[in-house]
Amino acid sequence: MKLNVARKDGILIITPQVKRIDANVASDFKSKLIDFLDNGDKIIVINLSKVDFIDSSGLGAMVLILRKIGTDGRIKLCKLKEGVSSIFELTRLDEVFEIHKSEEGALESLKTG
Amino acid sequence: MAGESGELMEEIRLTFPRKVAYLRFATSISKQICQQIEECREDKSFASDVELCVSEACTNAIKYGRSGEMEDVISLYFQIFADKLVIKVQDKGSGFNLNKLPDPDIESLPDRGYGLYIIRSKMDDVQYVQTEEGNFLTMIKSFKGNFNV
Repeated sequence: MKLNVARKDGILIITPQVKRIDANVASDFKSKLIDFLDNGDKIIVINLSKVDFIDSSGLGAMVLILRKIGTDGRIKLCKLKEGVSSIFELTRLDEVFEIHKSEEGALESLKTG
Repeated sequence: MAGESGELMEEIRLTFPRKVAYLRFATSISKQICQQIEECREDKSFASDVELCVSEACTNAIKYGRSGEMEDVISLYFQIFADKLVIKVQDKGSGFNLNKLPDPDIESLPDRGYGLYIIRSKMDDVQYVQTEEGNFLTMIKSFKGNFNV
């Protein structure tokens, strides 16, 4: 699964370059995210602007990372399309993840918060 | 083509190897089938709900539906009635008890268990039966428009 990776002021910005996060790519996505954590990245923004479809396999990968990061770090999501956003709302994961409309908003909240 | 309520208009059956590589084949077919239903050309959420539930149900069957037989496959049935779409996913694994699987407790932040919750939320009815031919997860979604081929 192709990811675009950037760093800004110590924040890791991950932008998956796929339209779908399902069981086909979820374990690869999960292991790549775990690699970032293992390499010391603890403040992460995941930009989902390219993703049209996510199912429980994709959600599970992100929940696992959120749990793994725990209180040592922070993770924020941004730029969710309507279909993706509705799945977060349905599963109430929108109450667990901090979700921002823009990448700038997510970055700003990490700098100030 | 309009039919009486409860009348089976068309049935599409697919059988594919129990491999994750075929997951998108199944979801892509579901999208095409939904395009045959008039309501879903107007209400995009019908097709996206069905696509999501087919993805969830097939993922579960791929993960847990391992059969002891030489032919390790999953079958997917789309039954189009005049007023509803019935989707059946058949696997030959050891099965589960649908009623004993609770909704995910978000407070404990589980990383699994969302699939059946999503299916239950998006579909009008969900049934699960275990037979000698295998396990059948049946998902039913009603529509008001006509089915057109």
